[in-house]
Amino acid sequence: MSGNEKEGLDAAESDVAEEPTDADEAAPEETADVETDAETETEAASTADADEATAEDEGPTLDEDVMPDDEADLLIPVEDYLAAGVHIGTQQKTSDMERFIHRVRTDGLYVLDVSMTDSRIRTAADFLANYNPEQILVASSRQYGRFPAEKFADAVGARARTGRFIPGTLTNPDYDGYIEPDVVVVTDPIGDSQAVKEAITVGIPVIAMCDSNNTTSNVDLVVPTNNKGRKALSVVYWLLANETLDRRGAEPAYALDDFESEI
Amino acid sequence: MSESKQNSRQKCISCGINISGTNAAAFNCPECNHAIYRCAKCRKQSNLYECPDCGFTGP
Repeated sequence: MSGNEKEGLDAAESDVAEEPTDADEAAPEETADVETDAETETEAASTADADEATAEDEGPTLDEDVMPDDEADLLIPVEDYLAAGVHIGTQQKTSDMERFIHRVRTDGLYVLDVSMTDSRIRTAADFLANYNPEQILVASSRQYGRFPAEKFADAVGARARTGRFIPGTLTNPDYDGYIEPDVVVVTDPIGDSQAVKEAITVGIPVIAMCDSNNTTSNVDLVVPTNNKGRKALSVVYWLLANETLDRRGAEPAYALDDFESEI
Repeated sequence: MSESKQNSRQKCISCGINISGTNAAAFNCPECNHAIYRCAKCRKQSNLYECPDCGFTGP
């Protein structure tokens, strides 16, 4: 699992910034080779570089195509989703998440359908708005999800359990931290498996943020998103909080920066 | 409403089995608030459910 995390994080942080850099580097190299080296071998090498660069330019860029309908009405501009890396999945996929995957990139990463992420955030907000705020439990054992989860809980008036989920929190009435929520929101069904397990035991619905490598076993509502990136989790929790408040008729008073944790 | 009548209405939305025991979930459809019941097996196997009212497909 830790390997996947690194892949996801690296992808989320670097891919958007790296693409222009590669293109910029390719062009000067090519020019320098042509101007300075007179040897045939070098010229041949530079020609090969030029061909490669041309091929890259003509091919689809990594983050160009992220949803089937380009005209879809989204909560925030698609560029903001891309900048946060919400669409970036992992190099593995599960059959459960196949219907949320739009395509596979040339580097092997699966790209999640951003329009589905957007619509599921709205659906989850509709769902959460039906519950008493105090009866919503947000769990996140993942490091990058802790701050956004706590901020989300603060914004909507829910309860948060970040870090290690103490076994018995939902099932052992003798435990001091015992609570009886009506719905659970988890950042990652794998990392927060204890929370999911206890939610099943007590028979309450589970909303989970699932990446392309997650199984949706025991999840009642999937929000497909990159659940490994810091910015991606911040954006998703921010949108979820704003939409939930909006559904309740309250004025959303939070900016995206409020949900972004320090590195 | 008698308990038997109430139980008879608690059928899993995916497989149609009568809900009994623990590990099942009851919640309203996220889109239209129609009551949805999911049995333990369908939850575990992640079987798709479709709301009869609005057609929302989950999970």
